[in-house]
Amino acid sequence: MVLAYETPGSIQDQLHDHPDIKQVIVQEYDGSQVAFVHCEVPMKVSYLREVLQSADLVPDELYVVLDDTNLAQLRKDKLRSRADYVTPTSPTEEYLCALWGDLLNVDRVGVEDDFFRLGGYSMLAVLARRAIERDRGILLPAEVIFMNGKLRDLANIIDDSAAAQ
Amino acid sequence: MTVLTQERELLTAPDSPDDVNLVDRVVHATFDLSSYWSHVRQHHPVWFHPSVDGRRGFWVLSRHADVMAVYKDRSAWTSEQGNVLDALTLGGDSAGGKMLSLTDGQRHRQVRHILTRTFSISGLEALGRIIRGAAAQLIAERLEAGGGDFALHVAKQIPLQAICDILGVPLAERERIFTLTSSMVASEDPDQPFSQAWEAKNDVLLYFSLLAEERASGAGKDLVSHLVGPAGKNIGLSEEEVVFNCYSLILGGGETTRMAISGGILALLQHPEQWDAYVRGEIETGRLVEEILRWTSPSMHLARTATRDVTIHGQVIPKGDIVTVWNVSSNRDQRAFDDADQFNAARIDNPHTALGAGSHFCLGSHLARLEIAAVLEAFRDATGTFELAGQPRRIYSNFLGGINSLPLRMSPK
Repeated sequence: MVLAYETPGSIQDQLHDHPDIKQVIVQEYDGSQVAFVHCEVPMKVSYLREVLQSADLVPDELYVVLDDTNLAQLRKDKLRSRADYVTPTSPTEEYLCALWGDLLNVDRVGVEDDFFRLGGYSMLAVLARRAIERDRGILLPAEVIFMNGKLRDLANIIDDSAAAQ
Repeated sequence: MTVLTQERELLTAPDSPDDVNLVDRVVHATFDLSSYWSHVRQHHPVWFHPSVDGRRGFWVLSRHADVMAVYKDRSAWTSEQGNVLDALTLGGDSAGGKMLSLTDGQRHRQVRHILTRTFSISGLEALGRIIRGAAAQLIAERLEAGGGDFALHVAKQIPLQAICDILGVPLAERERIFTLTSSMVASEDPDQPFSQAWEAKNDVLLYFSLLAEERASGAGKDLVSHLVGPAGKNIGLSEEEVVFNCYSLILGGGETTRMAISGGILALLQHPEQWDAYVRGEIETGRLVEEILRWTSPSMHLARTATRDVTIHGQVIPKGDIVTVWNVSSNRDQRAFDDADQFNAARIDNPHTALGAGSHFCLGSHLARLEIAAVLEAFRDATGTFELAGQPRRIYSNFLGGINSLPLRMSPK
């Protein structure tokens, strides 16, 4: 495995032995350190974050890359699709950040992030609706999911619905 | 029998391919595109439709031989990115590789294999009796009432009830499912917003996601139980694959056949001499069914993505490009059909492409033919006279073509 840096850094090379990770590219964007992990097989970002942490690499954002043929384009797309990270404050925002991160396999979801821009498609919206019903007791209409791609907006609606009940 | 009025006069489309936007769903419901397609077949057999509204452009194939060649060539074209215009030109279908019609190769063979039995002639035997009984019953009700909206009261009901019987959708849920499926790829309203189709699709996916969970024991006799049970488990069918395939079956089973049935009855209304010949027993139902499939072509187009550079009539279609094949055109191609622009219920040589061809040939072809035949025979056996009682109305879609309203006055024999 190779660690490649586009910006100078001093991170130990301790990831040699991980068989499924082919390459990690770390790049700095507007002061944030972004890691692109090129894997042989699909892997959860939460797991990869632990692996990188063991090598003292703690990026601000982490992306899984499965096919490096269009890595450059992918990097541009990924970064464009992300809103500036805004930390969740309410319990509902924290809940949704964790839920989306898990469903979309995206690292560090913030309250300004948009479900669809992060790659949310119909079936993932179904899984989100089912999870929210299970955990929050509210079955959101499809329209609400479609019209409120931004996490903060959806969190507000869930809180308002809960308050109205 | 008298014909009061014809189907609403469609406007004649311009001849130049550049003047017709095939992405626009209103175009297909408003214009008679037959002279346009004839012109495109003759002069632009491999034509690139430019990008519209920021969507990707795509190739248009219109000749019967070219459409068949695309269906039959498994190596040059893939369905995995999507198989209709909207999904492909908007960036690809999220069900790619997880729905039978959007899967190629080994996985396609595995999934098709576990579905084949249900949709085979022998697998449909018992359901066929129910369908024939239901068709006779629904038509008797219409005759009793002096008529009605044939599209709504008969053509919609038969395929919907049949596919719901197969999937095991409870009776009480069927009207709601129908309302949703009918706005997923087409609409009754030319201004229906994009969001409404998305929401309808999402509710159908949610419905089948819950149904799949409810049937998790796999013990039921319905197709959902079959998919979540041992048959599905043996090939490692994921929950997502189960749900996407149910979605595909309800759409394919419920939506296309109702267009063929309504369009077929309208064609008989417009060709009274052929209706008379059918009543006299001079035309076999089977031939009439094939001609109705050719004439109505409910799936107006299908689409593929090139897996390598492909040359057709000297034109290179580059790897990765979208190619659309238009059944509405191939089924009127004079190169493949005698008097292609004539409805001929007795047509003998009828190699239409309404059900596709090759590895993705319509899984529900036997069911569709059975349903159309059941309605035609029940209609023939009980109906004395029928005429239009209002304007037939076409749906708005760039994929599904046909009428969703056919007001008839009917009287019994």
